[in-house]
Amino acid sequence: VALLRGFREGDPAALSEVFRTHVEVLTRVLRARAHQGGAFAHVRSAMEIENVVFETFARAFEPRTRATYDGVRPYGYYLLGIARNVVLEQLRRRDQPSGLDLEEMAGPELADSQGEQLHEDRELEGLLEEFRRGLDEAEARLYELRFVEGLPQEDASARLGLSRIQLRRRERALKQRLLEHLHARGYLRDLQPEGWGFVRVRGES
Amino acid sequence: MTACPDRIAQMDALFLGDLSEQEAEALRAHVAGCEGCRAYHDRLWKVEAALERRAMPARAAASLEARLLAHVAQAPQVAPAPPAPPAKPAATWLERLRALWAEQPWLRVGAPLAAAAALAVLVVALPDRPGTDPNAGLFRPRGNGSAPAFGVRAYCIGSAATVTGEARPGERLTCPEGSSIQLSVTAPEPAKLTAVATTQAGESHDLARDLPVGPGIDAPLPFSTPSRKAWLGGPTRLTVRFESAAGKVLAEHELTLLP
Repeated sequence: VALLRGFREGDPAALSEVFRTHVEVLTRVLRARAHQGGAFAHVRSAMEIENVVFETFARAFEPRTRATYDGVRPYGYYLLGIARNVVLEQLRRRDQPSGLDLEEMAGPELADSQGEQLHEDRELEGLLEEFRRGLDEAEARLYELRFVEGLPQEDASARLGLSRIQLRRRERALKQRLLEHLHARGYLRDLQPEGWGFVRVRGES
Repeated sequence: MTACPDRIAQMDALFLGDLSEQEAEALRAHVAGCEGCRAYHDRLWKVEAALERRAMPARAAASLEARLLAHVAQAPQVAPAPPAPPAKPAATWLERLRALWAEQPWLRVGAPLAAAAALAVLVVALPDRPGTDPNAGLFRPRGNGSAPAFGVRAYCIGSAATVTGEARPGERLTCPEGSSIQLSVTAPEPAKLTAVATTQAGESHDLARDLPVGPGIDAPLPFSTPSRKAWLGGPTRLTVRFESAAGKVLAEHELTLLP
């Protein structure tokens, strides 16, 4: 009740809590929908995703919208409804055929797009796994705690017996090595944006 | 497609968490308009997300949250509509401009960078706000509703997305570097608008050239112009001319811009 009251009054702490609770799920749904084709197909690049997420929350946090939310309907679905409108309006502004029924997904497009996504995901997963295998014991432990277990820096530094500054430095060095690994494997070369920003490596079918 | 060499280091720094929020915003503004950099940024964004096992990297989510809260704080706090609202006066264009400006994060960060990258002037596209009829609200007459003449106002938008100054024809507008100049025009009929800034040395820079404007009152142009020393280093005359489709001059106004 306190959260709902704060939300309706536009309390920044309440808005932050709502944002943090829902941003990950909303993004996950957008990314999944993008690779199912249909109207969400253009929401593939990071910038498009961030743009849609921003606009969705901006609308959801407008005073009138906040006041009309009843606190009963699942807020995630409520946000998805707004996101859907945002995406459709983007399509109309860009003169793209939208195929306005979002539930209608073309079969071949769906299969192709999901295949591309699967390929992209597997390629990245493979590179990360390869990188991980090349780490020494201390680095691998840090990687495990921060990126596999997902511990906050504070907890990870306590587990490793490091100060937070030490942990940050080591984590930065680890990410620097990851960057070098990605460059060395050509993962960041010859990229081609597709559509409104989708990325595909040249030469891929 | 290749990313700009000088931006790759910046995007790597963003991935490593070495950029300040201000630097990150400036970078995003560049990335938004550069396909090669967008592709590179996109890949690193997805690497970061995969590394953290999240859909959106924590860094990006935190940045988005900060921008969102700033946007909410700056947007007009309109009271909820009553069930049967009486006729409300139209929002002034200044209020609309403030809201419009605040609602366009890419515009705000893009303005200074666009100027740095380009030569002198111009121009940050201001897309129509989703869900908003571009003609709605912007063209409501004020005052007694009598037919307006061609007119122009210039506004200075500060780095905090607030209007810091306003000038009408014959007046002076101070708009320091880092701010942006936004024009609004009043036109009783369709016309072409040309806005030229002329320095004391006689050097001219186009802010707009043959830009179609529709009938309306105090309608903001769909772009702003970053104030830069490159073209606004001293008192500069801004001439705004309205012409018919046939090229006949319908009206011309002048005001002075100051850095």
